[in-house]
Amino acid sequence: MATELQMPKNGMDMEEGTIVRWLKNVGDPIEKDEPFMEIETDKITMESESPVAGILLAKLYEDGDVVPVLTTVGYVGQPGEKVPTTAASDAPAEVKKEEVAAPVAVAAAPIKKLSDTSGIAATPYAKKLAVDNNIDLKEVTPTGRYGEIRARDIETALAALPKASPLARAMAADMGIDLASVQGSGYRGKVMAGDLTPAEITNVEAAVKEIEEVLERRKLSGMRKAIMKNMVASHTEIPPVTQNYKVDVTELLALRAKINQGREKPERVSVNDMIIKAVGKALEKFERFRMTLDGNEYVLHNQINVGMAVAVDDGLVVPVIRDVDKKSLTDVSKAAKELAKKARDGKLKPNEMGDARTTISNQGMYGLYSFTPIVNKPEASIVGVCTTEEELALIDGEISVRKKMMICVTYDHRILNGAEVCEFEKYLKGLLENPVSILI
Amino acid sequence: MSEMRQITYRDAVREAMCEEMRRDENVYFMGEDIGAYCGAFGVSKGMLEEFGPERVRETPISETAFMGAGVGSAVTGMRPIVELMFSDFMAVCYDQIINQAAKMHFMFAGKVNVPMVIRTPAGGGTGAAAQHSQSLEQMYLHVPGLKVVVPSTPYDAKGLLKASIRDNNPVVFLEQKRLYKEKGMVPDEDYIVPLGKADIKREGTDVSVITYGRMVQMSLGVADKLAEEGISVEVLDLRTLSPLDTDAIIKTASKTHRVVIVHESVKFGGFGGEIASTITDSDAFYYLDAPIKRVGALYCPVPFNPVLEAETFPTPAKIEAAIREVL
Repeated sequence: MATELQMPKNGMDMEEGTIVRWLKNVGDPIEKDEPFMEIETDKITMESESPVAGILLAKLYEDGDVVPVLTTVGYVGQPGEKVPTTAASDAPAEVKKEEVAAPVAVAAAPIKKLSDTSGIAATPYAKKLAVDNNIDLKEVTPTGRYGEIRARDIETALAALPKASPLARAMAADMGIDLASVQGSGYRGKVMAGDLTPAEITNVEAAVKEIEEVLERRKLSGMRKAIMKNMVASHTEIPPVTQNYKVDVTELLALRAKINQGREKPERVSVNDMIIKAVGKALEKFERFRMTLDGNEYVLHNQINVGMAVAVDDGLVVPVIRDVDKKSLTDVSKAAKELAKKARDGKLKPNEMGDARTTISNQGMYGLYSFTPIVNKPEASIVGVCTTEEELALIDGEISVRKKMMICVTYDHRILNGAEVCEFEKYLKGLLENPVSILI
Repeated sequence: MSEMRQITYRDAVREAMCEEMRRDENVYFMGEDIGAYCGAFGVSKGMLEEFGPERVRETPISETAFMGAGVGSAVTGMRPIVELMFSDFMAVCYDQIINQAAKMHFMFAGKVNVPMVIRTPAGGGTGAAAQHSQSLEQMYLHVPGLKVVVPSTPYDAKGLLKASIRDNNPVVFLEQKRLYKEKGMVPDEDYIVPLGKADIKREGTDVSVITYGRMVQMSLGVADKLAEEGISVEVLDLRTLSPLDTDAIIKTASKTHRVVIVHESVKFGGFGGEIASTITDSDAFYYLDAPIKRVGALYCPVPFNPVLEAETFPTPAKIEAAIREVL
């Protein structure tokens, strides 16, 4: 059996010794009482002698290492003999005179490197940081004392990467984009999510090229590019939530019929005009729906402007009806008709778009039951309007046929909260179900 | 702000008892040699003179008898403070504490309360050998129905004891015999320290030492030393072990990502295991950046030889080594 070579305890107050140098190499023969290493205490330098004859089987410490007394530093034995697999054993409990007067140094537990290297050892916090920052643990150099990855190693790995927001990093990983190739627009060239959009589109174009049977290739129109940019910006920057309410529009339709009695076709008001007017009233009451975000600030707007999504050839425009609160229903109707016509003719002027507080996206003509409209930045919300359908309803115990329509409000959850959107929608529903209130 | 003055841990315990006995005539004090002899550690000095033998009651050397008397008087409406001369002696009267005091409220459908405080000096370091040096809090902690308090400073000792006396449940109040002579600031005015609230004795960012009792002072000393190297140690004093302030434990673990638990009681089967599980059972697990280390006494009866005795307990060097291991 291999014999332990120890750091000697030379004197009562010696706690540790430094191996100045080994005098033997592994495999060298050693005689009994022959010096095998030179050590240094805080008082003297001396040689340490082997208790038995044999060959030096192993060194557990290197030249210059500081080792607690009575710790195994190596083994002597016969050629081919196995060395115990546990490395240096604990220094035996140190005896001391008085706890307070002379605290002994406690030998750090011998470090056993993790034996299973097939998986990746990482602390829970390191793993969490890696997931949060989209870092692949395989790429991280561990510095833990057992060979495990620590949080600091993730931080080191992060510092070495191109600067990017966590979202951009996650998107780049999904899209297979090398962040180093992207020009960042953030602070000191930090790559933001928005910077990846062109790369994504380039990728899509490249993918399209690979499909052989291309029927036609058309340049993107300016409008399509703008829509693309706005939609991607809305989709990536805005946390959207959609809330739906079913509205009984029986009374609204009856009132509209009454208003339109005797009016010529161009003067007739539409359901959409009445909804625009009602939304204007709701915006007036709920001022937080008139807010936009500007950096770290909310901006509260005063003017009650309502956008109106109009489908055009290969696109979509949103003309705006200004000061809805100051206009009569007839005026709103007139403005909406004019703007819709201009939109379809491609004759909208820049000042006839933008600066809306919310947008109405009316899909009622398509038989739609419900949908999730997308917020038109920088507005806080968008109001989707669906098709009116007849439903059986119980009113005072009597079965009657009512006309019902869904309204679907999507909002920017950075600005608005669910409860207040419910209040807004309930108010809007109230206006539409008691439509005289829209007029007064 | 009221006036503060410096008193010892021992004086803090006595002041808490005296003030509560003056405040409430149902509070009385009972134990071995607590009258003329003033208790084995001199805690009850002057109490016999002030309150008389009716309220400062000397008992025979029969722990089961006087612990049972304490329980009986508590259910009839008194608020006894029963002193066990050494916490090790609880083994003699375990049935009264575990099967009677802790259970009555529940077994009698909540019709009785046991508003009783068992005060007893715990811990070693006094050369008093295996039967007078143990930290047996774990034996009480495993019994639902008991509250367990271990104060580390005169301020906490006084405030926690007053809260314990006013509590309607049996409270085991483990004083630290090595701390009796330690001094600390205490306000003149009446105050309590609520049970179940841990206290951050030192704020830090690199590692949390979660501890209680005598080990709080030792850990603070280590924290001071490591601060010179720029290592920032947070020291959380649990103060009450049952009910346990799990929020404070989870919060500090999540904050510093590294935890060393220190207690004077035996590490094997000790309360440190419960604290470690509290962390790993919670979201704090995901914030750990190193294994949780425990420092506790060696698994052996406390030796009489003072040199050997010192080696069985946690020492500043052992605490420091554990901290360095997780950094």
